[in-house]
Amino acid sequence: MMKEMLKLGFVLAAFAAVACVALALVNNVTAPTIAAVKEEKLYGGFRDVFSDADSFKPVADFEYTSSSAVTVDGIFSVIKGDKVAGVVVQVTGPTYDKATVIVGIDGKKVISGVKILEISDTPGFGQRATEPQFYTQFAGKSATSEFVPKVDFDAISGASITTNGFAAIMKEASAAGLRYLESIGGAE
Amino acid sequence: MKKYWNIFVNGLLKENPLLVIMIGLCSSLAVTTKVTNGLGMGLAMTFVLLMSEIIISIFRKLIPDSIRIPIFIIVIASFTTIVDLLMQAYLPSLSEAMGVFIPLIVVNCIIMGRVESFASKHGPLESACDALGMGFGYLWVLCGISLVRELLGSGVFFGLQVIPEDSVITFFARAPGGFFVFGMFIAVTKALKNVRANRALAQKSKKTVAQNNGEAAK
Repeated sequence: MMKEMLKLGFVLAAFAAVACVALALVNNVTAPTIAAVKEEKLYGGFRDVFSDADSFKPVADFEYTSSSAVTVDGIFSVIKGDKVAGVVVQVTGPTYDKATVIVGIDGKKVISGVKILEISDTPGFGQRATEPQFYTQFAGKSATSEFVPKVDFDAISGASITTNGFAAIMKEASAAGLRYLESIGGAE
Repeated sequence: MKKYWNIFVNGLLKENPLLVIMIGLCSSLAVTTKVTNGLGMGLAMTFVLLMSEIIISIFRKLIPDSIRIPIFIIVIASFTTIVDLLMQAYLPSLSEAMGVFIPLIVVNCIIMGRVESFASKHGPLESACDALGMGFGYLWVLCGISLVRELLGSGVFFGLQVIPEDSVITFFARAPGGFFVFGMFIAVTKALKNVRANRALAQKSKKTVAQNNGEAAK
């Protein structure tokens, strides 16, 4: 009995070990490419959410602790000429699965643009957040908005969990962005 | 040779995983809004199915019966992760369009079903034929459904806008449209089956009538 159990455990461990080695090899090969694809997308996305800018600089010396399940992945200051023209905030938060979004906020506390970098929701439902009709509606809205679904912005029909997720994401990103702008004494 | 061909053809229509066995439906309904998605999903799924069936049929004598399911899952999950990583690295836009359905290939019933009922009892060559048959059976139905849905739902046919955007039937691009088109595909398969069965029956009764006539003439 004991011997049998040990044998089964050993077989299972052997299969798992071989699978692990194979996956590690594939991961080693693909990881740099995946990272490059993601970075390219991030910096490409900055132009989409904040077109009137010369360059973007990651902000290192700014701490923001989120009050919800949404996490702030990065804050980038938007440079135009030699002044800060606004801020781009990258956040990740739960939707039906999860979404990573960048939000641009200009010096007038108005959202300059929103772009979804990654969303792993159901195609046909939550994935419809990636349709321009949904995410472009945030541009031009005030960053101090409460982002109440169906009041402050149009919901995605059939995907209320994704919509609520976006409400939280927008709120947190705006809060973080505004806090940063405040900390540097506002922007042009 | 004939044997392998028969195993392969079996999955295409006679025992088509989607239309006849009716397993693995969730992924097929969800991703079929665009032909490229259908194609990508079908190919990813065929790859995982093929590799898992081959590996499992090679090691089938080494897999103890009582822990075969966890081992199957390990093998299937490994290949799914490999596909997922490769797609993220080299086909980022397709990987984005598929969303969560690529990782979900792990729990696709077609793979588990074929591995359990076929690969664990047959040799690697037969298993490979079965995997290709089932995989292509899944692939062509996915492409068929997405072709209809993309044409009627977004007016696009092989990348060409053939129906102007304001006169498309959005219903087909949404979930209910998926069910509808899928139901139609099942209905056609069923009708074909019935026709064939009726024809066989008619031929048989004709034969008996002819026989009876022959006997009566005597």
